[in-house]
Amino acid sequence: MSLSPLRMLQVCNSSLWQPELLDVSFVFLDPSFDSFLKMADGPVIEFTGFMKAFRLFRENRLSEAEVVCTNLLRKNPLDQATWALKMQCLSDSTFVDELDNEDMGLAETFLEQNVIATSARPGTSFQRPKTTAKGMNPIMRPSTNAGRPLSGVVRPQTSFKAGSMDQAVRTARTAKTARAVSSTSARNMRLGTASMAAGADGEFVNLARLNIDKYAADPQVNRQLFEYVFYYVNDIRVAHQIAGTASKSASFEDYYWKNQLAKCYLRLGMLNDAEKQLNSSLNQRKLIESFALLAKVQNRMDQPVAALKTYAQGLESFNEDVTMLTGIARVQEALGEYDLSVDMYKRVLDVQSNNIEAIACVATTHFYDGKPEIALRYYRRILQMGVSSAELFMNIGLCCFAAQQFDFAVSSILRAQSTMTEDVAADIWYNIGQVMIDVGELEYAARAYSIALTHDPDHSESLVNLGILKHRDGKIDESRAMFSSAIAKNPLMFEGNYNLALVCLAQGRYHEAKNLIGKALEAFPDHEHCKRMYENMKPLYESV
Amino acid sequence: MDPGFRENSNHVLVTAETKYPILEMASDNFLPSMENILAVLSPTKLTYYGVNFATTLKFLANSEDTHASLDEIFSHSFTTSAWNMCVIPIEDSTSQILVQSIDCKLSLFQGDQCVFSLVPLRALQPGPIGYCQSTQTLFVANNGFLAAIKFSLMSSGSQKKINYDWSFNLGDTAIKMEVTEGMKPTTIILCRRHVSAFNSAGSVVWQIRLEAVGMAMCLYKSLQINNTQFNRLIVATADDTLLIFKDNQLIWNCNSQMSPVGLLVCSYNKSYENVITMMGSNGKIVIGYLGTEPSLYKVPDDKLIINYAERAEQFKALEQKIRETDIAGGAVKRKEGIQMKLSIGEMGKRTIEPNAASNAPYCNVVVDFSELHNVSKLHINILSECACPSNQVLLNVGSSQSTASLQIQFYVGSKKSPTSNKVTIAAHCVFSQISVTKTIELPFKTLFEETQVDRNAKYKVTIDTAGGVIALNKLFPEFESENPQAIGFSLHGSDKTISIFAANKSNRYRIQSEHVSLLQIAAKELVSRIQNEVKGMEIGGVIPFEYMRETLDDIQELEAKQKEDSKVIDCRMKEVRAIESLSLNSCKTGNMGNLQAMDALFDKSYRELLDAMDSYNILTTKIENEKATLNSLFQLAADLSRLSRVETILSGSFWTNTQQSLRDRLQWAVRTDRGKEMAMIEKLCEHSPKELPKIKEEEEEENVE
Repeated sequence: MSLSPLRMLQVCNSSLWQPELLDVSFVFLDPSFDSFLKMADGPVIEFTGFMKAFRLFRENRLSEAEVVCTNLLRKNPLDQATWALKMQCLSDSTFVDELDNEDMGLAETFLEQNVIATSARPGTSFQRPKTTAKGMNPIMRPSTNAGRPLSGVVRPQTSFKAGSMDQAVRTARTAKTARAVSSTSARNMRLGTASMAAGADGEFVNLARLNIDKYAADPQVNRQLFEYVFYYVNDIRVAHQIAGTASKSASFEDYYWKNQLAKCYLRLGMLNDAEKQLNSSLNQRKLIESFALLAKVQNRMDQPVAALKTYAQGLESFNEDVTMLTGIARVQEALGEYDLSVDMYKRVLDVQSNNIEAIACVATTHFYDGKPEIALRYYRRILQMGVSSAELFMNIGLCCFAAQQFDFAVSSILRAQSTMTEDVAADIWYNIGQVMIDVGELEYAARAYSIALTHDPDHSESLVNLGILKHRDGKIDESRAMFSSAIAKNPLMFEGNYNLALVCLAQGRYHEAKNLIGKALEAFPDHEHCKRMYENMKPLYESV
Repeated sequence: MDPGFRENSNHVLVTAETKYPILEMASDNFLPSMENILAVLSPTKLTYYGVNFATTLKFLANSEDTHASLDEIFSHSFTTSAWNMCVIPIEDSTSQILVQSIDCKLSLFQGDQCVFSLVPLRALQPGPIGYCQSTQTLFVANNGFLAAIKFSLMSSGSQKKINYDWSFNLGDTAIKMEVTEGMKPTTIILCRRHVSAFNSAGSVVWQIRLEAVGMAMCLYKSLQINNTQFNRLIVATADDTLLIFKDNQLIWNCNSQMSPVGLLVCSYNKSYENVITMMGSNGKIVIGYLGTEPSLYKVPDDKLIINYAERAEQFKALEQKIRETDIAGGAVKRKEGIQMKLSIGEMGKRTIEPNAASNAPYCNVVVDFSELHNVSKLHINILSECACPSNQVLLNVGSSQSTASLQIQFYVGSKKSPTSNKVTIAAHCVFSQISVTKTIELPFKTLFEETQVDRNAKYKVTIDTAGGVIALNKLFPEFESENPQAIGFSLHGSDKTISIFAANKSNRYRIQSEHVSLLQIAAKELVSRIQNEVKGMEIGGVIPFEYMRETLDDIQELEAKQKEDSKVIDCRMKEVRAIESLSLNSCKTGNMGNLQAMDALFDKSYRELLDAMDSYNILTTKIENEKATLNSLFQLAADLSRLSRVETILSGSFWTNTQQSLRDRLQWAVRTDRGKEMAMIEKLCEHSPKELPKIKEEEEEENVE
């Protein structure tokens, strides 16, 4: 039976700039501050009108600025400057960096028509990473639900490896796993409805009645209008129209509009057009954003080698740029080239020593490389920077455990347990179960897995390991059920398929076993036992 | 509020009411022949103040707490609201002030004159402006466009359209601009979501993508770091973080606990040099240095205190204990342990025991027990292929005695011909649960007697030696043979013979027998005798794998047959039962007409059943024998491997006392599940000379002494 391995938790990358506290030597509070306020009682000294709105915007007080703008627009609805500012306030409040926005809807995932080669050579596609890459071993390094090896940080990542449509639709829907079926992702749907609620007295800009050609050609307002439509209204078709017109009015010489066009194409899934625009933009002006977007498009097209090349070109223009280096590292990681990926992350750390993604990824790779002590140092570094999440404590606990420092391991795991939130609780209990198995407390391990399953009924690793424990107790049918449901939750999982195949084989269900081994081999093509079982079963079929 | 505070000190020097909100301030020599002019920009006015410090005005000032005073000199008023301004230094003359209004009109003021006023870049929203003296270029970042304009073009005063040197779409709202002079003039723009640096030709040198919205930025030069190659800058973001960069390389970051709108690095007096000054949007000013101590996570105090010295002592004691038991030969030697000693006692010509083979001699094994404390009864179990009167002996020990002794007779049994001369005796005391086990080998003569040599026997094993051949009659003196080149033995009470030949020319011995199972015992005896005769002689032999294969095949064949037989027994059994029930039924119904026929039928089938059972039993004994043969071959292989210094896990007891099949057992030993049994056996005996067994551990030897 193949036990699912330890799973390092992915550190949440929400706060990349985790700061150390400023050591304030002393604070001057202007003693005349009170008197200043008193003075304000007399003649009111205050900015008014557009000036006030613009200053509020500059101080990043977006909602206040928007209120001022709204009031101004009531007085004078034709004030273009205020109109533009309000659009900017609205779009900035829902801004998402398009480079990091990699949510894909089901339709995009499964109705993929952009993959160029259906049977790519190994190493040239995310679907077929190099078989020699030592990292692609699900026993050594567990994989995510999408079938990718576990990384150091949570990324809103596309599932490069498509499972079956059937499975994706069937996967139990919880608040966490809900995935929109339409082509726009859940995040965008939410933003769209938010915009409706915000405009209590109707939508701010009625796009249907707006003379788009006129405003899109006006360089003073077209950027704000585009951002408003793209980020706030989320009407990509109109956004594309605006970007096209603006590009034309700038006589196709503005890189900015080409990039925006590419963003629209990317959202619409027209990857070839996006690539064309970005190449043209790069010919005109070499910019980090353009390189990164181009590489993203190429990644989406499943052309990691081209993406790596693009990143390398970007690095030629912008020496040691963090965005480029991180991009290379991510692609290499997805390809299973962990050594190269870690090298890149180390370069990132040379430039930006507090990059949590880089530290966490290096740590994870070291951990699965069998160097828990080194991984521990990296995780401690994150801890020193002031992040103290349950994931981090759990990872430190696992590192300590693997490095035989049991006293620290226990205290870290206890801390993780006391600070955990609902979304990581399943993973934490799963890891506690693993630790229990390692110390031989099988009953406690089974209990820990059960708790993990109450937190997240879709936690397939817990299901598999609980199944193994049940099988050990001789409860074959129960373990069968566990393995089956684990596979149902995560069909790309190696352990579930393999273990169920073993059970089937023992029960004489050869056909089922053969199918399952086939699936297991898909997940882990080099697994020796699977291969042998497959070979052994072949004669049975040939003789029939 | 003003992000351009230059004057600051321990306490407030002067407070003046301007009646207008202040946008920006700047101090420079704006007027000829006057120093320390403070220019204050408010939406409607640009006012010049003269700053007079206390040193000059001390006598004039009446109140004691006023250390300085501000004197308004004159002001310019605007029709449209001003937004920001920048100082334009001019060589050999007073600096000028360029003011940008909210509708992006630029006005240049020199002293009390307005030099020009024009709109070079129409925009809805004004952005920061900056001026580079070395290239005499004005940078304007209105409405997300960065444009560079030759200043001379503007100051010429012509009202025609002004061409930019270059322009760039920032794609974002610019917040702050810093322009550096020198060899490589750089324009650094802070936008809401990124920081970009441009060279004088307008191409991007580097970009930093911010995670949070940028709020303020300042360039700084440190006296300690006198390196102008890099631009050092501090960026404050909306998530209360200060990021300090050397070009685009992040060198430090810290939490500022506020999101400042104004940021400066300045020196106030000797004790506060190069401090960071931040002004928040609520009017709070914070001055401080960067943190030097990161907030270290404090590991919770561990209540468990490890006394390492004590632990070390404990380990030492444990190690000592382990060493002691090792010296005791691995057997248990506790304080109240039982000591058992085995020795060969008297040998007799003929035993009278009923289970002995005819004319078999016997050999007594003397078992001596010592250190029997509180032991009243000893259970003794005997394991041997040779026969003895009883395999289990119960020894009563007197209450005050600490020693006991008994003699056990061993001889060749009549039922089973032995394949080994090993005797294992285990003693167990029920009360104290102490056991002791010892093994001894019976003399060769107990098993064999001399007989004719058989040169045509089927199975052979060859033993090579490094030295010359020793005469066999010398090696086996007790058999009183005269032939130095050949000697034959036969097992007592059976016709099983084994012959040993010494070669004439080569240094070889050959052991030959019709019975594979005897090869091992003879080979072992021969080797030990040669070793006794010539110390340190190199001896080797070839492991007869082909015999193993043969035996294995036989076993498998027999087992298959046995399976068939058991099926036959099943059938016969059913038949007998059916006849029985039939006859019972007829008894019940009283229909006894065909009783005789039924009786005959029953008789026949019962006989057949008995026959089948007999043949099954015969097969079982055959298998047992073959297994014993295989075991002895394993032992032979082990002995021969040991001669070439290969320690193998294979031995005579490798497959005994286990429920596992041979295959499972081998798979466990080889740690793989590949290949056939023979391949695995060969792998186990592979001649990979290992260094470790050859190295003698000095320490152990010392201990032995």
